[in-house]
Amino acid sequence: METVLKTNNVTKKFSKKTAVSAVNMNIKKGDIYGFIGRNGAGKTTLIKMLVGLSSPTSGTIELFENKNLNKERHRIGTVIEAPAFIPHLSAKQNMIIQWKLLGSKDKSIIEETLKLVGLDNVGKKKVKKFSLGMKQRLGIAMTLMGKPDFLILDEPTNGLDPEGIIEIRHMLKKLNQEKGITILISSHILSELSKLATRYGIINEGVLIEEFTEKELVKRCQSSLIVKVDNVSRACEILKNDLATDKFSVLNENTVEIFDFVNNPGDVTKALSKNDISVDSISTKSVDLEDYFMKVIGGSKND
Amino acid sequence: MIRILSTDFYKAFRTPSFWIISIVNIFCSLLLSISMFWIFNVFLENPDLEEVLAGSTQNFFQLAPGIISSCTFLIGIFASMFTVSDFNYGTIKNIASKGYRREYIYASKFITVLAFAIINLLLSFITSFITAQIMINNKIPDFFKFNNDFFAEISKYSLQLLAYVSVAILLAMLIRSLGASLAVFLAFVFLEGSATQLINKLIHDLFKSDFSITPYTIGGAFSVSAQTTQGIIVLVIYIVLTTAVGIYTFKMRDIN
Repeated sequence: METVLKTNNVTKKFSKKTAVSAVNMNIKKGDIYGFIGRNGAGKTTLIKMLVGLSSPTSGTIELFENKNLNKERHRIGTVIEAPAFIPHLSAKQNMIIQWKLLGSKDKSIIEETLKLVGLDNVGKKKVKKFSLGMKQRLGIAMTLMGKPDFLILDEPTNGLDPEGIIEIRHMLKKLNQEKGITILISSHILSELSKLATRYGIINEGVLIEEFTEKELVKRCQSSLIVKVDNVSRACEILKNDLATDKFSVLNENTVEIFDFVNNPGDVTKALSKNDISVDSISTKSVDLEDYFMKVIGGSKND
Repeated sequence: MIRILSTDFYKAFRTPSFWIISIVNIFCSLLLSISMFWIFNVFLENPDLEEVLAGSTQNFFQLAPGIISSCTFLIGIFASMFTVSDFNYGTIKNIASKGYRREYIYASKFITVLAFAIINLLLSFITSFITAQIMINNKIPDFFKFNNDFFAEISKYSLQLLAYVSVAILLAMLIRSLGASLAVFLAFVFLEGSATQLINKLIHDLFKSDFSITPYTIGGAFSVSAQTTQGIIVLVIYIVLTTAVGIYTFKMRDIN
């Protein structure tokens, strides 16, 4: 499968501070890459280097398997930090600017793209009078003008209401599935990202800690049953012999975590009770992307 | 390059500052022309003063460059506003992220401002010409007879204007903030003469030398009429140097 983006030890230093440290990122064609990190972790700095707003102190970047970045950058659509447009112009006029910049020949693409993001009926209304959601949609429309193969979106749902967030999510999913556009998206709303991304990268203090797929995340975030019993060793024997599972671990002298039977906790209580093990409590523990992210970067959810 | 230029032209014509500054320029030229030709009329109507008029310039094409030069700072203001606007709105990110060379982005700004300057010079010229036609008409013989020095004077002024524009664009690209870059540019334009005189006085007092830095400034490049070539060289150096520094720093600095 074609590699859309590959970075080799990309590093960015600002005088004494290393903002991005030896990042090796890989994005394949068709991926929706969720780029996760705290504020100041280095996400935007890395994205700026990818799109040419900033140059790396060291390391190399390859776009579409080509090191001549300026040649390939026209295939990228970007929204960095906030969508940028001229506020005293209308949506269409801003789109014309982008259209001219991309050297497109077919002018009908302007109307088509505005329609795609639901801004075809805003008329001559100036962009400064748009709502935040409309501005974000216009920002995305502008990135779609050159029919990009790769979208880089830095916090595209910033400041949007829940409805707007869902709208953007559906739009991005549609673009990925119907037009095959590869997407790199950074967002603080991890629950939202988990509904969209197919691959993830976690960056912390400038270091890309991990890259994993959606499937790997499901494995890592698997839910479990937390069972409190009066006899842990006997409970373990029953789990092995009667329920034929070894997917469990002992948390302490009276608690077992079972990674099986998450959807059938009754089977566990029944088996344990049948063997005179008293079950004090049983609960389901679910782990989401947020928990996993906090675990990886070494913090707690309430930090 | 053509794509960026086409985008910049589209943006420039839709910028309120384009129209406001052009209108102010027409108004300034009109006021200057009216006051100048009004004095001519006063002199013509008063036989006692006619002798004074006889000793002064009595040709429109000799007077026009002086009127036109009044729009220098207005063009500089537009240069600052237009260049900084892309940084203010963040739209510079849209251009730079498309893989365009920074030199082209810089050159496009320069050419767009140059086009604005040409339009405004023409507007200023037409305004003063129409005013002169109305106010002087045939009162002074040969007043509208074309003077061969006109193009030479306009060329000198255009070169000076270009040097000021390149300073304005450099400041805008370096400072990237409208208020500050505009303040520094206006201070440069309006205080250049006074600063030059002060430095000349210091040189004279400290070193007992008559050396003057005036011919090496933008405003004073053509102060010595016999040294036109030197003036041209000085201005070209200003233009090349400021543009080179501007492009270099624009290439080296990150876009935030």
